[in-house]
Amino acid sequence: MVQTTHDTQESYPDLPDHSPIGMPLDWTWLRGAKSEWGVHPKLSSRGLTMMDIAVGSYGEVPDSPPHRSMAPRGADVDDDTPDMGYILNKKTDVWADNVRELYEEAVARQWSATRDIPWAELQELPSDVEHAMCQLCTTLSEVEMIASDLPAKWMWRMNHDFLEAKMFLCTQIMDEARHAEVFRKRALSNGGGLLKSSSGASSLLRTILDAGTYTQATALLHLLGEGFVLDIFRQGELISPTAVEKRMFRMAMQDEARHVAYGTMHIRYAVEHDPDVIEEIHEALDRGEMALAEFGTSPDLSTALAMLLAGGAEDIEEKGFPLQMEMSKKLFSSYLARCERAGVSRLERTQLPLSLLGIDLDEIKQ
Amino acid sequence: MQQDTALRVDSVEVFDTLATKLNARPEQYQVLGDAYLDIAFVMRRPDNSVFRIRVCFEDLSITKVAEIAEGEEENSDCWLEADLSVWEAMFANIREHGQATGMHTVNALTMRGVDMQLRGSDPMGVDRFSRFNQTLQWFLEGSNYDNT
Repeated sequence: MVQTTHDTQESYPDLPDHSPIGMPLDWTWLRGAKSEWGVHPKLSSRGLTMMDIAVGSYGEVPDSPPHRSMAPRGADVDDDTPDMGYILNKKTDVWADNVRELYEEAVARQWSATRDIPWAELQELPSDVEHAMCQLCTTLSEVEMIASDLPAKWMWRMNHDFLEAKMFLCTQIMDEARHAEVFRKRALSNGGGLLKSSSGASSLLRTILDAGTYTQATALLHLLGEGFVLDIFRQGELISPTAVEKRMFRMAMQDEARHVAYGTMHIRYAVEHDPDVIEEIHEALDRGEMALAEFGTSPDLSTALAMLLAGGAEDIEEKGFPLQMEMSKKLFSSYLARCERAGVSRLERTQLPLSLLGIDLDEIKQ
Repeated sequence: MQQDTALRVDSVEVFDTLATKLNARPEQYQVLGDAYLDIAFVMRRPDNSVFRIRVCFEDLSITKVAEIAEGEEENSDCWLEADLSVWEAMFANIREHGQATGMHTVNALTMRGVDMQLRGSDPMGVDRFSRFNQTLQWFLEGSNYDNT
């Protein structure tokens, strides 16, 4: 319920109308701002969270905000406040029901690529393995920043009433900067260096960046692209030659899973509240899956992964490629399951070679 | 973990011990941040009986450790399922090295889905395994987490 501070007017009857240099003064914030006054959020066990302060009218996120300014949601906004030019003015454009939780999680689980990776424990590796790790890190340091650039492209067009979604995307930008940092550091830290950057990666990134709407963009980025990278990070346990790389992949994996969680639930929210959007998501994923397949099977990335899975060049055909095929099956199964959860079933539509990958559709449907 | 060697892996006691250790030193987990994970561990014994236990992470603590009945693991965000011998080998590896090495981390064990399966009723719940993975790993590594 909105209560005004109007009742305080009589408590301060003697306040001046002008400043000592003659400027007119405005006391409306004290005498009648239309605000819900007197809210008392309850602290949770970990402090004061964004969930805790989502109380009363302050917790209500409008489907179509009345203003297009940077005024904080819940404030008493001047009628003549300028339009900031936002184009994402519907809650369905950006919202996810888990976004406050994910923001708090992201803030609480930040880490340092300088401090939290035991770089001093790096060991000299066989040349083939070091080359493969450096190639993988070259590719990852290239693709990770798309997940910073893409939110940055859209955030300033998002209505400010969707503050929590914008705040979460800020954490994602920081996460991805750290990922670019950690993979660059790994490539340069053990006697190797940056290796090949192929056109396949840039082609995928261009497809994501050029998405026509934010919902298409987030389907391509969070659901498809970051889901793919999440599974590569999970494979870190299999491809890491030492505990240093394992820690690196595991820490990055935690961040990436948050981004996927936002994307999955945003798409779900959008589809549930605006079913018309589903076709545009499908169209984006039609293109994205092909670009991802091209990227995932690009000769440099796939050979580097196979080399790491095999533990070196010697077993690459007997062990590396078969393991890679097994990992691809898991990766695309996870992606298709997330699509189901998001309410965008791709099982009947995808052009991915599911039979070739050995993916069991019944298992995903369950 | 040395003091745990007498404990059976498929027992409430061993998970109670791990929870007590975590709850006694939350500052060790501060660097990883708060965790919210409701996870079950399912251990298939050689005699075909199954031990199931549910562990709930909240903030920087464990709020629940409880043996559960068949099917109740589906109420968790996700669960890890393996033969008892796999679990025993994992804990033995932790005791030997102070932390899980090689293919003995839960992420590694579940990666191929052969030795240990990561399951869940909801992909979002399964993804929580990834979101809080390092916290879960340190929990299983018990008192050795400050060495990692």
